[in-house]
Amino acid sequence: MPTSEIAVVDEADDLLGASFARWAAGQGVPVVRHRLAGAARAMTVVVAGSRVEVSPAWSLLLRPLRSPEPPASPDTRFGWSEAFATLWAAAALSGRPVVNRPDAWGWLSGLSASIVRNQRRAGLPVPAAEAYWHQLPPPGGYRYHQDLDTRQTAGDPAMIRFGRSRALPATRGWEQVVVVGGEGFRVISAGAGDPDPVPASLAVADRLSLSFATVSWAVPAGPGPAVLAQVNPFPTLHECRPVICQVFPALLRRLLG
Amino acid sequence: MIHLIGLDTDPTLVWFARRAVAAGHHVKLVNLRAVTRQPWRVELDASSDRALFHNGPGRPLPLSAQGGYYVRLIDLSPVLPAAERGRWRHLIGALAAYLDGVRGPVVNRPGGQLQNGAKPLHEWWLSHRGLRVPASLTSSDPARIAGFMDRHGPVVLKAVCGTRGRARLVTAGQLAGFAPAAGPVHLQQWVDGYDVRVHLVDGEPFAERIDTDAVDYREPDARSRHRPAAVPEELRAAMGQAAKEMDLRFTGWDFRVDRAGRWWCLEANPMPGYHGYDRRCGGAITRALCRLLAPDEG
Repeated sequence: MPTSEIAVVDEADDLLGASFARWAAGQGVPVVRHRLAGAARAMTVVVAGSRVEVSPAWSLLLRPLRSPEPPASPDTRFGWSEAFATLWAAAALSGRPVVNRPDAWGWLSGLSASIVRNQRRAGLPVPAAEAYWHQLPPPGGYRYHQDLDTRQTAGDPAMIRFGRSRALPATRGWEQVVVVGGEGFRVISAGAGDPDPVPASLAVADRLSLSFATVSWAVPAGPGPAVLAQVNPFPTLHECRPVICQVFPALLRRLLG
Repeated sequence: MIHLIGLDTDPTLVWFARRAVAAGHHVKLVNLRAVTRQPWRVELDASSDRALFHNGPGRPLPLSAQGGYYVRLIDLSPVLPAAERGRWRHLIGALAAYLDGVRGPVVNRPGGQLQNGAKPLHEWWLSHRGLRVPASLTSSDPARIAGFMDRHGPVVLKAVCGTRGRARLVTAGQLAGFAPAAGPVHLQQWVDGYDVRVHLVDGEPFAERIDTDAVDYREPDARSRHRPAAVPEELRAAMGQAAKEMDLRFTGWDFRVDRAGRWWCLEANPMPGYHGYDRRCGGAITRALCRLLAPDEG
């Protein structure tokens, strides 16, 4: 493969993007990191009838991108949106491999912010309700509360301004799997003898149209199967570190097509 | 019952509300400007979802997962100070999750296709649904831009992302000094002819021909003549199928009809600001929306 045909589009402080590029270079495969604006300016998309041409022919690893926040000027925000729209179209229409390819429905369109919606989309039962709230925490029965501003969880919602709560049964542990395409790598294990969560995690990622994700499960203290707790379409280096020796080669295989 | 979700400062939402109430429909307004400042909760579970909002202190506003919803979710968080941003972002996120599971008709469901926000993708997608779409180039490369203009002559310059939607005609001379740092730009082949705007409500078209002296008839100083138009049946069927596939019950379509009478599709808008067109057609679009959202209220 010619050099620089794999591009990571990320922020400068993305540890996974930086680490993956370094690792790939060590394998003799150059990977170029781009910020959004640079990637978009390098791209050309030609549409003529149903014929489309996207150049350069990059394989893409798309990472989380931060939109400008106030006091950014309207022109800055518009410029960011133009670059994002270009990257979205190019990634959707490219014939090259794209990790978590956007599509006509949107960017990560298969994934909802709501875990209940994701359970339904993944064809899973919904054993635990979910509530979003502002100054109106849900009634009893909701055990886990997350502060939507800080993403920290708490047992007591009293100090939370904007919250997300779940009526999960008491858990005795968590399972987490990093999914790359058709491969899954178990990061955390609730305990010996638990069912292997990898097949279910692969199925969830597939139903949500994700080729790279961490899939987390809550393992109940009592009887009953593990419950889908979270799907992260942008696995962090911290999440992947225990299985990084498997994750990076799998990512590279996927990007090399 | 029709639930309205949006801003009381949005002229399209206000237009719809007034016309629906005047027609005798029961309307419940969720005014996001008021709701963001009050307690709220959205519960999602296996059987039925619930949403409890307040339009003011002590003014609870429970929503039903049944019934119709006319929604214009406008997230103001990108332009608000940090302290205010969370109010909008979290409410919009919760509402989007709630509306995704509403069983009744939703105009339009937040989970519908968003491709209109990425113009090259949108145009390619429409082409694949049998619509005739002008050729386009999205690029920051001066050589590619010059080559496209050589082939097509003056072209239309428009936003890639769909905001700041006014289009303008540009010549090769105007883009001669184009610097890549100013890109990317989206250029589309110009179609000489007249405009047609079609609002499609669940397959039912409401079309208006616009003859104008401007490249974009929406320009404030454009001199335009509007009159009702008929949509070819084959085109109506293609639009209906595309809207269904996008999961959008209400769409606003922009066409140019060339001198040979061929209809060129420019875009399908997923959240049409339709009130000006509705005024000219005597409220027919709102009536169709009400039939869709509250079929039992006749």
